[in-house]
Amino acid sequence: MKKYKEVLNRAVAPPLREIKSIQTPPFRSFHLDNGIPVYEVNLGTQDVVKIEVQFDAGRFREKKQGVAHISASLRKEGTNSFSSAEIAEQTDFYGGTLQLPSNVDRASTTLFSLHKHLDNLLPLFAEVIFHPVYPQDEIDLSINNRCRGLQVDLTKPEVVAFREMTEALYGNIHPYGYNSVEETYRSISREDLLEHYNRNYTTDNCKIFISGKITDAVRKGINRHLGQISRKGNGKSLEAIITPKEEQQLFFPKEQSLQSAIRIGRRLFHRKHPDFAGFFVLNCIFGGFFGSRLMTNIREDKGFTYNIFSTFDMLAHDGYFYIGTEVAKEVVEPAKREIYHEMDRLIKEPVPGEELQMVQNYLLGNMLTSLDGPFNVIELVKTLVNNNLEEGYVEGIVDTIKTIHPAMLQELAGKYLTRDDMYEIVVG
Amino acid sequence: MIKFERFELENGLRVLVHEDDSTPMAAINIVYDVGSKDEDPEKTGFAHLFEHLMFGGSENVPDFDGPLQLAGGDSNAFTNNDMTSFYDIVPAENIETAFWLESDRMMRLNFSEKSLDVQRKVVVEEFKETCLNQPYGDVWHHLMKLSYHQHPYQWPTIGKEPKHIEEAKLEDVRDFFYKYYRPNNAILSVAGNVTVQSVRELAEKWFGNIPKGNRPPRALPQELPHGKMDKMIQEKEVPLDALFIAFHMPERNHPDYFAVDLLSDVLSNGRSARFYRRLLKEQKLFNQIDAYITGHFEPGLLIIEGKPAEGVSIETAEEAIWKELEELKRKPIAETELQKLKNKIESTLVFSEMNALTKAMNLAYFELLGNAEMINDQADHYRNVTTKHLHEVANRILVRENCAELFYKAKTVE
Repeated sequence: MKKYKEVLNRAVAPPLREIKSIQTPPFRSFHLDNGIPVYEVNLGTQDVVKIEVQFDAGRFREKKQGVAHISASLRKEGTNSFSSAEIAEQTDFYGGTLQLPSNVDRASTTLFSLHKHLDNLLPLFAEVIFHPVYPQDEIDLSINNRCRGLQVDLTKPEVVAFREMTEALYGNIHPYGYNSVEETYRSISREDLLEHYNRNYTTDNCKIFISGKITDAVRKGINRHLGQISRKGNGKSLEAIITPKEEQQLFFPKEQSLQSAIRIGRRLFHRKHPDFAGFFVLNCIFGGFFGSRLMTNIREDKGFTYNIFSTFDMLAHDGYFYIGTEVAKEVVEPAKREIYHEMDRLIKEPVPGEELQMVQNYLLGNMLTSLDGPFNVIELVKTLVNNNLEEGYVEGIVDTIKTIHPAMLQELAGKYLTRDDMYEIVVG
Repeated sequence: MIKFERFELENGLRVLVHEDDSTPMAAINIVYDVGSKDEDPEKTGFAHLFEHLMFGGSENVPDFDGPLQLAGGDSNAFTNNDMTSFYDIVPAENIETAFWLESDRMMRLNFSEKSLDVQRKVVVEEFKETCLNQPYGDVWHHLMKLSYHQHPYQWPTIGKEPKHIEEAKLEDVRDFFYKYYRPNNAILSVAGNVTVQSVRELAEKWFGNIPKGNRPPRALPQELPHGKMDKMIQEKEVPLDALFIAFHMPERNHPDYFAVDLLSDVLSNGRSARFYRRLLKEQKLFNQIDAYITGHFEPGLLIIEGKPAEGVSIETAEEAIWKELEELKRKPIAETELQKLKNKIESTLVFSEMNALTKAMNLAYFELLGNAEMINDQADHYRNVTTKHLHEVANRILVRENCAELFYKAKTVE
């Protein structure tokens, strides 16, 4: 019996419900004995924990280019008490995952562990954080491998295009602008790495983020292993000068390439700028999701590319915005034309109500997803803490998403999506 | 341990539900039992192209994504050799929108010339971006062809060549849809802030009256042992030499599967694994080296890939790999080494059960493989492997007559 056959009208969409309110998830903070602040998200049902120990040890603290990244990643290659091999062996034996992610602003040491193995992993983890020794043979090996990896990366048009863009925006002496080449790596000595480490990896330049199922035993273990050492520094960010390129249209031919990588971008603003939340919505409409203007026009209507997007990176000291795509060589010009056309359209025409409604709901749903589970929530907490964002920040963004109107979006587009301010990089 | 309910609609659609009220979201996964292995050898890449067309609108919904985004949701899909998988994540209160959209495109897709025309171009650009315009991007084309002479795993999911995609016709699309995109050839799984009862009602309501199809039985040619090493050398304009060795291994449901997986872990899971530790760090013969299994449903491959260090010939690098393999065959690994691998696997499994979408996708995957229950016995299968079993399997799999070798030799650009 097909009881729905008569009543089901497939042409009518099921009713939608408003997405319930989104709030900053609860998190707590406390200090270890040595004063390191700990931010904790206690959520989830699995007996797992993620511990991230973060230092402001990025490029703004460098006295020599390339040092921040290498000094961050080499910490697991040998400490006072453990060799590189022992660190790897012990971590793997207890099913742990030890990562050393670093970006232009910060360097972290991250441990993922099951509760039952945490006591065995913490001593090792603390050693990697506080007592790396940077053995010379490990430095040599790492630099050799890095140079070989770079050789491969530099054959990829999208990699080259991104590098050329950041260099065009900030200049090759700025922390956000320079790109490492073989000579950058080869000129780094053990002394450079130790100098950077000693100056920046101090307990007064450190924050800890923990997430998962957090028990008292977990907190105590962290305090026992990470809270007893005290090492002060007076690390400060160094002065940085921005020297953008004069030429805004840069073309790097690659004869044998079948596609061209296009990056079109500009400097933007810091996350604390009053236009941030509005631009978040504008970017989504323009190129921030599958239903965006760029995707709808350039992929789904013209078929010029497999992927096109716009995005903005918010950094500790600045922010930039860019559009990225890879297209067949013969359609570079039409693709660029359509990109600028879509920017103009957002300046000249108000966004239709239906489209805006879709983007608003999409963004709310997306925020809900980004707050799902302890490891997602801690990422948001990190953003709040690292940028000194006030209470109510998340609610403020939600409010902007819900209330922004077409005239405001047009005004923002007129301010930021302006062709004359864009750098245009084509590789291939 | 993932608790779930399973039921089947009259039209053969299998449904799996996992309740998880710790999340505000609901994840929906629909898997169709069709992959690139089901393609005509002269029309390869079609299953994947078809996946793109599933977003081009259906009878009552001109645009799949718009209404889902309006409901605060998001979606994506992938195709591989064995299956095609579509998934949506949506705030739980709006889950019915996903049922409406997924059922409408299962009921009747829009067979639109415009959509086909655009997606042919999009997929050809994808082909260029991922295979033709990347160093070593054609590795799967060569390696699969070397490894499979009879079985349709011999071409990668993207297709043998762009021409096959360019030649796809609307009638092919229609045939494919009615052959494979039917409820009795699909699995629906839902995980998140839902109840079994509500999913049952929604499934009946939206999918209940989609007619069954007649899926042709799968009769794929089986790969016979080659009896010799298959070898190929590509002299190309790649930045560095690279080598790939692919060993034939049993299918996903074979009792030896787990042992072979652990074998690849001995070599390459983690920085303490043998390849990384010995060949990269100690002997400094490689810049990069890795071993993994393809995880295919039917007999698959254990793959070793590496890039030799500067000044090391590809032949020296190859020899060093074989030396390690010979050692694995000579004597069983130590109990502690096996324990390490099992601890790692246990962690990996626990961490993989952390969100609704992966749980929905794992349920559908195991159901397609035979039975969703299998989701809860994977850890045991790994736990039960012994050093003796590993040793036996190593001696059976890691032999020259059972593999293919592909070398890329960097040709300097004039």
